[in-house]
Formats: sequence, structure tokens, C-alpha cells
Amino acid sequence: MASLLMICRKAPYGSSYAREAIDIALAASAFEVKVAMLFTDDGVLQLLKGQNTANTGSKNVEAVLSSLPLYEVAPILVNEDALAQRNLSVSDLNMAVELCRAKDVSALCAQYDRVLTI
Amino acid sequence: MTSALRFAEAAVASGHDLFRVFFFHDAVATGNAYTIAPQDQENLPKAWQSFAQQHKVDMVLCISSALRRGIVNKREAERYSLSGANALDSFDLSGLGQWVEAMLVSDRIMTFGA
Amino acid sequence: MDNATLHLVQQSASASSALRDCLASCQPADPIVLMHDAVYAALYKPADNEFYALRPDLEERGLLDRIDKAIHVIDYPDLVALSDRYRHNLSWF
Repeated sequence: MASLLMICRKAPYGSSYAREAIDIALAASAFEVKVAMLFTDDGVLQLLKGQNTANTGSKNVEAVLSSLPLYEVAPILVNEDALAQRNLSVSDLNMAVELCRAKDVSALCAQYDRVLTI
Repeated sequence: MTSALRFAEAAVASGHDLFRVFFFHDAVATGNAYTIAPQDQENLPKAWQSFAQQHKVDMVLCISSALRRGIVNKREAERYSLSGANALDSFDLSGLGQWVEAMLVSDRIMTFGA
Repeated sequence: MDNATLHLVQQSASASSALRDCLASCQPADPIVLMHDAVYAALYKPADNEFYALRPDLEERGLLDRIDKAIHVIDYPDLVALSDRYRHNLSWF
């Protein structure tokens, strides 16, 4: 079974990267690829609790991300350095995550067949 | 996207097989047949088209990225009752499964994001 | 094949966090390619890693004779060879 690590680096609403990353994760999962996601840099902002898109007409990234475990996307990794730089902690996030450090990225990549930054 | 084309040309020239070029996000504009380049500049859609024809390379526009940005082929124009199509014939409109398949059969994936 | 990761930095170091985030995540043995507006970072050598910069992007911006001498100038065929040599490459944009 092939494996893919997606490294998500973009804030959720300023561009469509976050939504598109979710689409890629689900498509790969449908092809029986073992998908893991690492949220780092501005990507950690995708996981913030309390996103409300009722008045903007966009897809709620928080809601979609919280469904990822149903598609067996795991682990969901978060760079704790990126959280700390933004004055955030795991209690600000909407799901259970595994923490890692920026310097772990290379070792993580080595565990997967393919890696993608988005 | 010029750099993606230059990379693709160099990869083919050095004997690599290029399985697919997948245009995603804003890069779907590369498949827009209505692109008019200034006279002294390269027309990127046409350049990709001739590259694909010359080397028989499969080129796919991500269908959700393309529809969101108003790029449609005949099939999608009919499906959505639009007055015309604007995607170049050399580009297919298809889903992310095409990217996943390409990832699975290729030794390397390259992303040109800027 | 080399198990280090090849990094492709594709945005200006002053306009985007691409280079900074890459440097925070990479290992000392990871090579880094500067392309697009990231080639402005070739004016100084940003870190001790092995650095490469894409010649057409340097030329376009008038940088070819101004960059740090420790940075390797490469063309697209060299970039193809680099991506072949390393198992993984990461694009920073």
C-alpha cells in the first residue's frame, strides 16, 4: 500500500490551497493510499476551533478537516513550533493531533513513499 | 509555469519518461485557449500544447480548479449550458484521481507552485 | 540514491515565509534550490546547506554576477539530475 505525506502550509481562507489539499487527501484515500497530513507554518491555522463561514459563503475548513479520520487519514501531525510562534496551543485545535517539531520533517518524509507540500 | 515547461523539456531531453502534467489551482489558466500573449512574449498555453503534441505527454486540468475559474471544454460547457468552451484540445479536464494515479506510477513528482 | 531531501524554494525570502520555513524544517545535509523570486536570496548565502540557484531566473533579474560565490549556478538539466538523485523533493511556495 503506497503512502503519502501531505505537508499543509497555507492558512485556510486566503487561498483555495487548504480546500484543495483536503480534496487531494480524500482522492488519494479513495485510491487506497495511506495518507498522513502534517500541518505546519500557516497551515496550523486550518485546525483552529470555532471557524464560522455562515457569512462568507465558503466551505468550512474546520468542519471538513474534522471528517478526515473517517477516511482513515492518519496521523494528523502538527508542528508545535509553528503553533507556539502564533501564540497557539493544542487546546486551540479542533481535533486530536500528534505533535512534532520542524526538525522532524526530514525524518517523517523518509517514512513515506511520496511527499507533497501544499 | 514557464519553469514547469522548461523542467519538463529538460526531463524529456535527458531521457526521462514524463507520465503526466497535472495543472492545479491557478495553473489551470495554462489550458485556456483564449489566452492572448503580447507579441514579444511566449504564449504559454500554445507552448505547452506543442510540447505535449511533440512528446505525446498527457496533460490534465484539475476539473474542480478549472470549473471554479471558468475554464471548460465542450463536454462541461454542455453540462452547464454555457455558450462556449475555452479549454485547449490538448488538455483533458479530469479529477484529482489523475494526480493520484500519476503519483503512484511515477518515481518522482515535481511541484511548481510559484 | 541519496536519502537527504531536496528543497525547491520558489518565492522571495522577503515577500514570503518559504525560505524561512524551509530552513526551519531542513537538515544540514539537505540541498536547497533557489528558483523564481527565491533567487534574490542568492545575493547572500542564507545557511550552511549546499545551495543551488537557477541560471535563467538569475539572468532575468540581473543577479548572475552578483551572487555569493558559494552558491552553485544550475540549468534545468541539472535540476532534473538533482531531482533524480534525491528520493524526495519538497517545494516551498
